[in-house]
Amino acid sequence: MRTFRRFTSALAIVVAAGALAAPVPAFAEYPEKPIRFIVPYGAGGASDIVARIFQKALEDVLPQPVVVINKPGAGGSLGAREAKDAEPDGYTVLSTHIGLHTNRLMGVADFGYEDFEPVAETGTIELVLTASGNSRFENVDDLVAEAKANPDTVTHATNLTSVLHLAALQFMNEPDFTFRFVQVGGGGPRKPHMVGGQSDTSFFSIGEVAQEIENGDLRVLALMSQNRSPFLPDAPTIKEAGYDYDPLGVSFWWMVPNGTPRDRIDFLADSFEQAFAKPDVQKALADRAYAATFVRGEPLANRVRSEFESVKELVERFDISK
Amino acid sequence: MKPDLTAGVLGIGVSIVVFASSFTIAPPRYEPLGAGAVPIAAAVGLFAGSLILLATTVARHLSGHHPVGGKRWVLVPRPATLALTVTAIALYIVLFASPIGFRGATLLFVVAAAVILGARTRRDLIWLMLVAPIVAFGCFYLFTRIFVVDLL
Amino acid sequence: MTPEFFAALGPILAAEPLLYIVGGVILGIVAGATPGLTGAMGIALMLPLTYYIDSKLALILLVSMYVGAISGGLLPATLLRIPGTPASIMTTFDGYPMARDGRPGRALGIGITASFVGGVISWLFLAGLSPPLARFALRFGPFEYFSMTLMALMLIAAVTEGSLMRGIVSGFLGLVAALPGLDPVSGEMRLTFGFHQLAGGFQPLPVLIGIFAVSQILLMAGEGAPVTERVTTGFSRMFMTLADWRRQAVNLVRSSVVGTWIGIVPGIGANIGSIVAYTLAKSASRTPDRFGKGSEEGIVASETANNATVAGALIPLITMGVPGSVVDAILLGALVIHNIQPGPLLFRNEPDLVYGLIWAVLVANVVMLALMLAGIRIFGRLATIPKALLNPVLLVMCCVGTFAAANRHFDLWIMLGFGLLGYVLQRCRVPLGPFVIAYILAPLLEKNLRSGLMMSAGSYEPLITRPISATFLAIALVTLVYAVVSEVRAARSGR
Repeated sequence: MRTFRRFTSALAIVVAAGALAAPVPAFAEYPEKPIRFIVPYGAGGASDIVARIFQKALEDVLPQPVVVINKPGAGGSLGAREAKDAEPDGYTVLSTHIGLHTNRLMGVADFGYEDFEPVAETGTIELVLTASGNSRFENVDDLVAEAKANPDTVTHATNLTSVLHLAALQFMNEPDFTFRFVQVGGGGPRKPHMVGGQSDTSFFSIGEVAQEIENGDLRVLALMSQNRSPFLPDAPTIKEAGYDYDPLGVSFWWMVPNGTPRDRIDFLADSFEQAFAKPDVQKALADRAYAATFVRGEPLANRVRSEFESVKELVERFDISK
Repeated sequence: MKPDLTAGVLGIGVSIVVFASSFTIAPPRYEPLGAGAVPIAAAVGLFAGSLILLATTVARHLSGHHPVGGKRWVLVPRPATLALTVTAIALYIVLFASPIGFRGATLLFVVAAAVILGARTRRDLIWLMLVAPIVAFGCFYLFTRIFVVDLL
Repeated sequence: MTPEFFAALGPILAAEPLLYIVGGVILGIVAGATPGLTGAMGIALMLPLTYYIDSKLALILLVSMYVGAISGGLLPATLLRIPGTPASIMTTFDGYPMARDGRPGRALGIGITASFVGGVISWLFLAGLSPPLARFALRFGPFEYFSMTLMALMLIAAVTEGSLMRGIVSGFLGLVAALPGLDPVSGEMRLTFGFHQLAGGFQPLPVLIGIFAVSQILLMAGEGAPVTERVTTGFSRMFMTLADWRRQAVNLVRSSVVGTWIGIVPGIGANIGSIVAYTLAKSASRTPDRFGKGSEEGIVASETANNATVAGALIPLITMGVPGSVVDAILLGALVIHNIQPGPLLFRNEPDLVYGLIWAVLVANVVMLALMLAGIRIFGRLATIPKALLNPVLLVMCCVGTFAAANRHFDLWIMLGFGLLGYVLQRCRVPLGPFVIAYILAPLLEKNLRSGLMMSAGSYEPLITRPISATFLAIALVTLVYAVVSEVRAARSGR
């Protein structure tokens, strides 16, 4: 009875929102128990925040609650391994992103995207290339000119083996120069490092440094995207700066272990799509300056694979695999 | 065995293990030290510190300067209690994620550990009958309902 | 003091934060007043619970526990001659004799008042010194952080209880415990011995709970709880008179400043603060021979200083992200879990949180004073709960807390392993302080040195050419030389 009421209210929302999604299969027995979202990173991080946004939004989409379980450690590979080894019954969903590829290619994990079926992509973090507020670099041209004239002198604060490292390699590759990498770690320690002018340049996600950009502590050199961002409308894109390539970002992917029945994957994807369309989800993502991308099905599988190929190419070209 | 001797031997043992496995660490890539330098330094430091500790203890003992003041460390007053407690904890950890489940394992453990640790009077046992279920079910409720933890 | 600072007081006095402060102080006093349950252990056990609370309230709760725990240790120290926390060791020397002479109320009363005064004076330093220090710390790069951490380690090695060598062995063991897993700089895997479970290394919570809580319970299991006579009568004359205040004024201020200062030095906490203040008070006293036999000055010095270290040790934590004591190392973990980056930008980005936290320290001290004076008898009874009932429950809390942190069963074995290690080390008279401090600080040391070397393309020169870094290194060197010389001298004199 309760399930039925939940179902009808979910259906009502679908109808009311005029959603494009296929209706929830009427007589599906799945899910009959809570669905576990494994977040292989700590509480409070970007993946955790996104997982909790969807946990809440899925409450009235799914007939069963969602349980978010944080299993942090080893750059996300501990939790991902657990999800890989879980029963492929649609009750274990992994929250992941490009880190799945880097862990594999850098030798941290011996498994990768082939061990999972992608369900949906819900949002993307775009990166910005920044310099300190009183930096000698006004724009990308200044930076490239100096870096080319004096190779290996312009310092770049990064988090080695993460997407930031790869984004920097990808950028170096285009105008063909070399940064002097400085390992500072995650956004937390890197922010004071950059505001204090310890290193010349660094990548951040837009949301991470919106405040510092606004009050002039940090200067945006370029947005690593093909198009300008509504969250930072004045920031020129890397394409405008004259480098036409598809820059890496961090897209939030939901995956289930290989072998999960196709109808359950579709059911989950439908549910994510409905939740994603909700205004409060859109607002929550926008508050953190995450681009509102939604991809599923074959396009998502292609996207995951092509991102793996780009990372692999970078890792091989710069010979940084283990 | 004297305390300093044990600490010294422990330190030397650990330092050798760390030293030996430090050589499998990948060579430096971005700066001159690399991932292996600190483990090797730690092993060397630990080895040296432990060796000095051992040497001074032995020297002091030989010179008769330091009469047997330190108690023998292995001989605790209640070795059986200690061993049983450790065993109980280990069993609890095994049962923690077994089909018995968290609540059952906790009930068993609290009662067993209390008896091992010396709850023998009737008063203690009555209290125990109250405390054990409260802890087992209270923790389970707290952690599965209020906080989301993966307890069986 | 900015308007933001005063604006943050109002929200703290709302019902919800106050509830957390009062709750935290009570939990802290309980942890402190229960022998075997230290403040560090109580806070480590509490930490997983705060995952799911709003981050500001969680921090308020933990800081209030910290204030309560250091204060609560006074009770069993005075009534049973068992220090409730290591920070109250010095209090036992004078508190217990006074209590035995039929003046337990007096001993506790001046101890509680002294705790409060120490808390308030050091709070002034916390509120006044933190914002400018945070601005200054913006100038710190990897080399500065490396040198500062090295200085802290040297200072700890120099003041650690017992022999220098045992402290060094303990510190290196802590360093080794921090190594396995992903290397923090280049992401290489190291010392995992083929266990993929170790890829994440030994996480702080299993290690800290094992080392502090489990080992303590094992010690009690193996040695039996100490049996002592309990003093219960004579709870009168608890409040200090004007004459008392006048007599103790210098002592109170001196001990507060000493405690605060020792708190600020990264890594050394309340026990050292209380020892130094006690020693200073004794040498400045007109009646030094009363010390150890029931001197009021002794109680005042010890309790003022150990409480003063609380606010003092928060200063490096919130301004630089470097823990000022073992408890602060756990608090650092709490900040990280709540995704709050302590350090120079905290005052700019989260003024509401950081100023609120600072006010909470003051409010917690007031609450502590009121609760302790009102509840002496109840809290005093905590020490008599049978260990056979208490310890199994604590062990369950240890396991649940450890498991909750990352939902990993393997962490429970890590916890037990470190519990056994902590047990063996304590039986060998090897202090645990250096172990924990090195375990927490060594990764910072390694990371910053290697980051610095990346910045300078492999050159060590900036260590001595950058003035702030050079200053820290000079202090480290002087400390090391001093420690070695005094150790050698002590060894010569045959002890």
